[in-house]
Amino acid sequence: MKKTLTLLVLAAMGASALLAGCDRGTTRRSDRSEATGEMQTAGIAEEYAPVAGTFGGRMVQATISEPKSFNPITSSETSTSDYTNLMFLGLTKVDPWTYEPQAELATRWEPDESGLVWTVHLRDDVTWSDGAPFSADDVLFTYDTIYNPDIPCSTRDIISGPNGERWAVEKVDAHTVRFTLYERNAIFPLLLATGIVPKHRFEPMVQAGTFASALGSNATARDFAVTGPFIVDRYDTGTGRVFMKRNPRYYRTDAAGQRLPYLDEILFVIVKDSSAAMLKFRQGETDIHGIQGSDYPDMKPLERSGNFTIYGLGPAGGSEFLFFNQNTGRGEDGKPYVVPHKLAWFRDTRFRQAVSYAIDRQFIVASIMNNLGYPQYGPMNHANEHLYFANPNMPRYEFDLDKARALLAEMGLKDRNGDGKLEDAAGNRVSFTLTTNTGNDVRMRVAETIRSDLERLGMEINFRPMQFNTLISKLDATYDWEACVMGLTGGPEPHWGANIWRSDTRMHMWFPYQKEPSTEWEAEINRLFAEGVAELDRQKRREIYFRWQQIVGEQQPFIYTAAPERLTAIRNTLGNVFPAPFGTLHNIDEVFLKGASGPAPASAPAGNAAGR
Amino acid sequence: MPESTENAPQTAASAQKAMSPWAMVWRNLRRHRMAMLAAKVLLVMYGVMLFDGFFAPYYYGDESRLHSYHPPFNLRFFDSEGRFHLRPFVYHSGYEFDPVTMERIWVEEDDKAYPVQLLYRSEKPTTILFGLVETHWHLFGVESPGRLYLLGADFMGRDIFSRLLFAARISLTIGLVGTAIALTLGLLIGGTSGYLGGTWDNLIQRFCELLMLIPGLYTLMILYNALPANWSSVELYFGVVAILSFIGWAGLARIIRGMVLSIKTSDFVMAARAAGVPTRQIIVRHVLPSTLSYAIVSASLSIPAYILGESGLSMIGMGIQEPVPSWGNMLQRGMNVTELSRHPWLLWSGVAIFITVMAFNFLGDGLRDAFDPRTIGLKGKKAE
Amino acid sequence: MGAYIVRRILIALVMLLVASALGFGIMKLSPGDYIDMLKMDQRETPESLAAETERLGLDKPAIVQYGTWLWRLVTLDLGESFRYRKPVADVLGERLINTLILNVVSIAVTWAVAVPLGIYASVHQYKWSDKLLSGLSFVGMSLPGFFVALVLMWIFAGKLDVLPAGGLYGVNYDQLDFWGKVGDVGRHLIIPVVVLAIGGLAGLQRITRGNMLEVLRQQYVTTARAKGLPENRVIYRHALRNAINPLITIFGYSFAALFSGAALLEIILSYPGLGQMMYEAILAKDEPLVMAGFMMGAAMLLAGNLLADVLLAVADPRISYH
Repeated sequence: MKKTLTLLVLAAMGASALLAGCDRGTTRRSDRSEATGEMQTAGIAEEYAPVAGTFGGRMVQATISEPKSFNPITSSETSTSDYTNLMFLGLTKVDPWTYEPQAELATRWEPDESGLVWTVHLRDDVTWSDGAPFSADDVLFTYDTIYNPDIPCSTRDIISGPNGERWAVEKVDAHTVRFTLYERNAIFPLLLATGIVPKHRFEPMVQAGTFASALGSNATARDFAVTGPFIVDRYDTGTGRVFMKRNPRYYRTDAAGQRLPYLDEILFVIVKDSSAAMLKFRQGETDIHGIQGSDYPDMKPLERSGNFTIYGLGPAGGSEFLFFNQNTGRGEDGKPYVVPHKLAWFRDTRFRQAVSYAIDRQFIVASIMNNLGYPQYGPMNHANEHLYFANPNMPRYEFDLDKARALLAEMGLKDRNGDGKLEDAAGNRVSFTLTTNTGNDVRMRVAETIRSDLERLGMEINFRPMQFNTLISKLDATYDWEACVMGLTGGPEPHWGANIWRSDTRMHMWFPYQKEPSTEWEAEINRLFAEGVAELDRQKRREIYFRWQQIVGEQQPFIYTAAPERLTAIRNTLGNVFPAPFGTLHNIDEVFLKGASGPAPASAPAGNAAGR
Repeated sequence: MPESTENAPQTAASAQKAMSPWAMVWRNLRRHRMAMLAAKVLLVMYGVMLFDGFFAPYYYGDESRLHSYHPPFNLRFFDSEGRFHLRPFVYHSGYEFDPVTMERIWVEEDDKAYPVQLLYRSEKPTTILFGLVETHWHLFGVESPGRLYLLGADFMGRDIFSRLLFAARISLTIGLVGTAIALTLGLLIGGTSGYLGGTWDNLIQRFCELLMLIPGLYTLMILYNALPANWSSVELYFGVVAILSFIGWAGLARIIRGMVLSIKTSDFVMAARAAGVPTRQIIVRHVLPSTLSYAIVSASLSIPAYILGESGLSMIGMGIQEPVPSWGNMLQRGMNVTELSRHPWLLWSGVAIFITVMAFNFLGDGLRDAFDPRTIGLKGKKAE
Repeated sequence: MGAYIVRRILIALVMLLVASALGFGIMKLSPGDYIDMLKMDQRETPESLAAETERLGLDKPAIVQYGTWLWRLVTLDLGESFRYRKPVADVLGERLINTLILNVVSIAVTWAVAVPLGIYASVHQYKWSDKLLSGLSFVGMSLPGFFVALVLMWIFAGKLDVLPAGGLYGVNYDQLDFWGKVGDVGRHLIIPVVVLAIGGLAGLQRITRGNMLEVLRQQYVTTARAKGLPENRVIYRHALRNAINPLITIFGYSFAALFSGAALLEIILSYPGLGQMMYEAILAKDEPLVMAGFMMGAAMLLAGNLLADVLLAVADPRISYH
């Protein structure tokens, strides 16, 4: 027995020696802190002053999702649009400082008095990368393809009416297009940012019926003609990298008249997770990296030696949130999707409010986001000053277990038999299954925190994370779930969320595909979204969306938790970096590699040596 | 170091006649120093597992959010003035964020010391004997709000040492239960198959092969996802064991069938059959006991596979779920390299897995040597 | 024997067929399909999802899907991967090469280290070095691969920043010359190869030692020694050659495992091999890819089994085949 103990002690000592090397120690300040000053924040539009750059070089960026396709019409995931946005310009683009529409392939656009007919004037100096001129025909072809029923396209629904109404798109002349809408649309100019595709290249594929599956991951530069600054050269799935090369016929020039973009190449390296991406950045292999709050203490001290700058760009658009199944429907076997007594809790506003009060958002920010985050109470974060439509007076549910208990008691949920657990009037224990998807570390931890928070209230939680598609098939098809933690990315334009908040939609996750809104407040949200999109006056729209957030705040169908700070580290070797609230490298065509001294490529206007 | 029994003195041969086979196995095993050591280590571990709540200072779900990611080894013998205390103590501690780097800075308040108390009675109850018995007693502990973190804390401020002990409930039993199921199935099906031979043998063997054809990890993943979503952690545990042994039994059955095949043709079975002993009796009385030694050895050697299987599944998020700890799901966070380099104490459960697996390997090795027909005559007929 | 092998191959084909049905069935057992992966995208609409479902043939009953898949297989077409939208064979090919690289290198390293160590241990039987080696080999056998991988990652990638954290290619791989590429891949292989080698080393070292001891006890060795041959010559000329023979069979088996990825290790180290591909394909329910992976694994295993049985039959005449 003595030997056994000796062995155990030895093993423990060996392991301690191993693990002790990394004990960060108590009361000891980090001694490698060479960091100085405050974090860089997003700049303001007035400071945006690009300089003449040098040509050449490659920018490297790590990305977590692999592109499934480079088809700008059929694929809408960010893993595709990261690339297609650089290739296919829209008629307009979003101003990175204000989120207002800005000219791109169109020079101007104006509505008639009815607000239904818009005339859009196109640039006449744009050519596709293969030399063909860009014209109104490409615009017409793009919208034809979007409306083509044989081609899956998610943009179609956004620009179609409930009864299949469409926009009519007509060619006025080679560089003028007229859009006739079926109803007034406040975000029409934003919708014009949809990428325009080359008719002369894609039309044969559409006619042959092969377009829907064309431009997969084996597409190369030969398969595209683009207007944007970069073009996908090839996707090497074996080594997991996407090469994008310079479009020599890109239409923009710099102040000196040299043809942009400056960079020769952008390389996207696909990595497993954000920590792998971070190590690549730390080892100097990549030039830009979105930092997680938990990695910040490792990165901040390296700013100088690693020659990079970390920008804090305010609350991220997305947040993890908790929601309960409020579906009143029944399955094919006649059984209700949700056990009736549980459904009664979940549909009770007080229950959701109580849960909201019980969530320790400060802890989520401190522990999971390493103090680099913001509590969030509604779909738009009140802490983000750049969000024009964010309601600053949303109801806030600051951590308060007493309020939570009082609300639960009001609806009859209290500990009736002294076991520390809550029961309802009929004696049912307040217990349910909480789920989320595996594979997202932050979300898992938020869900674990929520589980523990709710158990503190005396609820009995069965925590059961599952694979993403298993979970989604429950949320979307079989409805046999009770409570779920999910995350969605949000944007500054509320109407993009219409397909979540309208009660008849697929993404109305707490009770999707409702034929008639099941509550008065859901009906009102439906009305507000219909009003909001038809209202062309920005101030009035704002009031409409304030009202919507007010309702969501009171009803808590989604119980939001916290939004992480958007942190980006950018290598100082990149020039013309002006991170904006709505775009980090929004001016990618002007970004250049300092010290790259390549001459201006041949296709640039003659006589212009590269700015040195 | 494992002591090989290859050089077991042949002089013992005369003594062997007087001993029963089991006694001989025991004697051989006792000679195997490392195997005995391993057995003792395992005994200690299983003992601690049974009374986990008593040995652990905290219940596995006991969190303290102000101590999120508390570093390990906060037990002190010397106070801030350098005075030695025979009775170790912990300082009350908390963290703040460095305003620039957001590094957590842990500060110990040296006016608030909490001595470690032996046989400490806690406010909150804990459980022992697989959660069947509730108790308030701990072998040691500190007064709240002092927190004792021998091996550090996880993100909810839960004590990793305590969770390590509670996790043994899952990780140490899953091997036994899984092996028991797989072995029972393997012995019955493999034994039957080998003994009956002919068409039955053919069918059973093809079925086993079929099961083995489908790669294990993938089957595990897919089957795990097919488990009902509302299962509690206990049900999930048995679900995982069932899946693991579903993968495991076929291989075992094939090997046992092979052994039975050669035993079948051995003299004593031939004799029994000639004497008209019923088939079932031959299987149960003669064939199975002869394979039992193999079964025991292979069982002790296959236990690690179950422990590793559960850990692997849990690591990729498909095992026992939070808040119930298992050595595998405690490692899950460690898959993130940056998380690991900031909080390497998340690796402790890997050390626990390693020690357990090594102990089972030593024990299995010792058993194999102890059962070796060259040193004893258990399977005598075959080994001449 | 020839007839037996032909019969076994026929049986194997039937088994593959049944296994494919079983695999397909198991895959359909777990809820959700590939389309679910697209559903959390706000921009996807019921119509676009329905169109994609139809395009992938997921709207048809499972049995029809299986039939379609099987028919394609008969015509040697593995279909198109849902996720990558390119032929399964292409995806499989790339990953196969990566897995092959990993396995060949780690087998080579394992053998290069284990066999000499085994011989050394046998020659120094019961000396402290032998005991140390056999102790170490037990430790190596018991070290869980995933744990070693995590520890190595933590130390060499997380702390020291000297080795890459997973993957197989550095960022500038395409710009390197040939030797630069070899060096780059080599750097990435260090951690996975070390992990695999630690696992394989221990067993092989023990077997080599055992074989060698067996041979050294043989009469001809004693004779050679008695004839006064130098000890080195006895060991390396006579004994070694005979001790290596049984190992060659093992070598054959380990090559049969060449194509099966060390799945968990590949997942943890994000090594772009077959194991990781299958893992991701299963998570995404990329059915053509999953089935192709299944079938390849099954075919390799069947071939291995057949080989083993044939060898067994050759070796042990007591086992008869009808």
